[in-house]
Amino acid sequence: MIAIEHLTKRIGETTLVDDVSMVVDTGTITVVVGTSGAGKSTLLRMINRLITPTSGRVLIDGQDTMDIPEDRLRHRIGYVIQGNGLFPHRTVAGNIATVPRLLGWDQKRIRRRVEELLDLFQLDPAEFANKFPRHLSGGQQQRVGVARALAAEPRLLLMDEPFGALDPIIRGKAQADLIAIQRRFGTTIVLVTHDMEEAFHLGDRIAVMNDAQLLQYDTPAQLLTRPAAGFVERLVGSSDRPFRLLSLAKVRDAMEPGDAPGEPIDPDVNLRDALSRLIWAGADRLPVAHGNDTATAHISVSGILSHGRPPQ
Amino acid sequence: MQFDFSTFLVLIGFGPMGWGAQLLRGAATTIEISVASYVLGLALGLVGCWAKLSGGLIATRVAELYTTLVRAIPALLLIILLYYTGTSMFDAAMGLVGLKGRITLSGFATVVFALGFIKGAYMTEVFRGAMVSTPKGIHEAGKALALPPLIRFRLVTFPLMLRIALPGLGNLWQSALKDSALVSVVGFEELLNVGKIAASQTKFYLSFFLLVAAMFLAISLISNLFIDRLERRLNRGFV
Ligand SMILES: Nc1ncnc2c1ncn2[C@@H]1O[C@H](COP(=O)(O)OP(=O)(O)OP(=O)(O)O)[C@@H](O)[C@H]1O
Ligand SMILES: [Mg+2]
Repeated sequence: MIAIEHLTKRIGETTLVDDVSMVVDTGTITVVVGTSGAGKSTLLRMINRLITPTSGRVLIDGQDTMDIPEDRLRHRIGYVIQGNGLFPHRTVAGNIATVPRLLGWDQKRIRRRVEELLDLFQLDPAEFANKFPRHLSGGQQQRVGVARALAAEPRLLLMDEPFGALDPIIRGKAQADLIAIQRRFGTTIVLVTHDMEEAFHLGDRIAVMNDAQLLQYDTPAQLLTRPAAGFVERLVGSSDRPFRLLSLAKVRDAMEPGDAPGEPIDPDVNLRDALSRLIWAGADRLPVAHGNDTATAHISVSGILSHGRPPQ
Repeated sequence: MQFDFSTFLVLIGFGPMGWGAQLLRGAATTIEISVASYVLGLALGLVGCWAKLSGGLIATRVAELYTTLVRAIPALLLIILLYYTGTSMFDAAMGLVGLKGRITLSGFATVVFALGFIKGAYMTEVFRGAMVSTPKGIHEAGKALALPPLIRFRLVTFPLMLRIALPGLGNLWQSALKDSALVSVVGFEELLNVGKIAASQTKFYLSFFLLVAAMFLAISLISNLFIDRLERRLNRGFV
């Protein structure tokens, strides 16, 4: 758990981060969104002490980060830098192995870890281990950056716009990889982005920052249905708000008893995709079933639509 | 006087009449002076660069004074000044720590110090320029990975900076080689001075000076091979 308490950073007259308090639960993904210059990177860098706060403190599992030696702290916290920050003169394997080497792991363990991480990100070790960053595509570089941050098995991962430079398809893939890794290792992740779509897709909780201040820190559904007046409302209040809401809920949340004709839908599909299926099939209702099970429930257009607006 | 080729061959040979051995010794001295003053310059340059970029106010001012003065005053004048005052200043310093007369500065050390001191000012600027053009994200990444400062410097900062600095450093090596000839002004027997002596004693002026020029060229060409090799190595991952 990370507890951020009244964190403030001032440089001269300017306030970069203004009295921010929030709690990030272990094993969750928190996404920080906001316009350029809002103070997102500064907030992130105060967590691993790349920047020293002017006032306030950060507790990791109850321990003040100021009481942890800087290098120990940073080995526990993986950091994916804005614009990947790979060392251009070292190979992919060399980059990933940086921290394990520093920690004195033996050669065999380092090689195994590098291969494991490359496999995890679908980069064939035989092909990629000895390449230099310059010879990789932007998406591959990003993935190596994440792999490097994960090398020493940190419990906590800070990511500053990790998928910023990726095309939509690779970006979707990278996001799926990240969720898979997070599930597998139970890593706590704080991720910065200015893409709202990404925030809603990845975030268990979303923190909205503007002008150095934390305006709202809530679950995606709360943010959509009860946005704070002003900036947050404008940020989430676009015309596709109902669809975002639908993509947060699952078929199992909206299904009704009784069978229906047609091709069954899996209960773990989100409501937005389910609605697409209904529209495409020209049906008002479709059965809900897991794989080849027989359906005992169905989902209807009206049932879905009621999830696309705030509860009355 | 008619140019007599066979006489000239004898004069540059290694016989009792020949200047061959002296010329080679002169060339060796030139290389020694150049290498030693270059290494000293590298060290001063790194310190100067550090002082300019991350030192305190006083260190920055001292470094600025150093580079401004050295680059404004003709090298020849500086060498004369440093050569004659250097020895007495060193003696005075030794006197202060109670070692008066026990350790003296050799002519070689004085000359190397003077040349290295001059090179250091140019190195400072080359390193500073290279340092500010290394990508900022890289330093941050090094810090975020908790690399200790010295390891960060050796593993990341230095190789990246060196790659950018290399063309400038190559130029400075060429000029170190040639500047070493300046110490002939204080009578030091490096390649040019030997050539001069040989020329005036044998009266084969043009021939000896051309020979000396060819020897400088040869040293320079050979060192270029090393620089190219280093450049290729540092460019790994960039092309
Ligand atoms: N060293 C500094 N001195 C003064 N101001 C700074 C300094 N570093 C950053 N700032 C300013 O602080 C503000 C917040 O910067 P920060 O990098 O945290 O923004 P950000 O939210 O990450 O923006 P982006 O989305 O563009 O990355 C910006 O206006 C920036 O110009
Ligand atoms: Mg930023």
